[in-house]
Amino acid sequence: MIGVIGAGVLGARVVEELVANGQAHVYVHDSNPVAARRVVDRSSQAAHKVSAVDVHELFGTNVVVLACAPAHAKAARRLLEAGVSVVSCSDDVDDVLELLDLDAVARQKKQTLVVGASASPGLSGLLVHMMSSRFDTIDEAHVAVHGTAGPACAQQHHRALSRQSIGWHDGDWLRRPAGSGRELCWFPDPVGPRDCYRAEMADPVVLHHGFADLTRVTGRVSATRRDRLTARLPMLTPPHPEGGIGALRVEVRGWRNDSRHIEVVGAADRMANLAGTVAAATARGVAIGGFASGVRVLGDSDSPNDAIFDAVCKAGIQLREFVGTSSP
Amino acid sequence: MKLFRRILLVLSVASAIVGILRVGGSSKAKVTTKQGGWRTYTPTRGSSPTNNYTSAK
Repeated sequence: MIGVIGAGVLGARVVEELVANGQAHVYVHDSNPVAARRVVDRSSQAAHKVSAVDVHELFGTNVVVLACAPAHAKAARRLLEAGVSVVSCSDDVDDVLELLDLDAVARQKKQTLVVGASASPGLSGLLVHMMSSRFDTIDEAHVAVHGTAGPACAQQHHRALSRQSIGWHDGDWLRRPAGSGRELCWFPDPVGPRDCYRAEMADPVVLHHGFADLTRVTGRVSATRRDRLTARLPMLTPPHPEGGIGALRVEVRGWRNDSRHIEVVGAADRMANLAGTVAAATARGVAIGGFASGVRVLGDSDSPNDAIFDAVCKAGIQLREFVGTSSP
Repeated sequence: MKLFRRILLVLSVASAIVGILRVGGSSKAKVTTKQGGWRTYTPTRGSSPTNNYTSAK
């Protein structure tokens, strides 16, 4: 049995994906019971039962997906100590660092904690893993994201532009002001080219955990001039219930046949759709015992990356690779 | 009268800022290219030992 905490845009997509893939019974909990009820009403079918439950009932499940706003570390620790595996969709750097520190707890309880199982991080790690087979060795990964999912994601995007970006650079963590380092990134259609900036993203932390050999890892988000100008202020307008089409772009650099080689792969879809699909596929993987115990990130050598990747593609996520430029 | 002029000044400055942001605020870069494009990604399967779900617990 799988539980989901959070009945927002992301939580609803996770539940939909689980039900669509034959999960017979799903528990949903949200601090707003009306939101949980809405997800239950929308997703329940004759063959699949979705129930809105109290948080204590989630301790009786096998896996819980944390699809609520961060922080997840405290909830993850309690669930692990109760013998429940956890899939976290957190994209907050401090929260992700705390989650990665729960390895000892997860191993002691012989449970799995998957950190950053959404679009960014999550799908980004899967793409780095898949692309690495086209190289002899990889040493750089650069992630760029456009768009947000629900209101909590939009607030996280706003916060990310007001703090300090973190990146892995030649064996050291490099901190730079968020909103700096403009780079024109090409996303798959219909998003196209967007100006992207450094931001406090969890991708470098998660990718460094999964791919220790990488020497450079960066993360950027698309932003308008207005986003950067108002980043240090409270959000002036309430965030959208759900953002429009977003996109993820992962650029991997390395060596192939003794020459420098670059591959770029991306996906354009609603961010909640990307994140929910990855989270649901990961939760199913954990539920059937596909992951070893301890803290895992998508893309690392001990995770069933190919199976999750196949499940994501089967769910309708269209991945695109950038072609046409032959030299780096 | 002084207050009225100040309000006018504030409004005109604010309008100018909003105008700049509206004109230049889009991150949709106006760039065209004759090279490059996107095609469907076909993964190359490596010889990973974890190609399928395996009971590792």
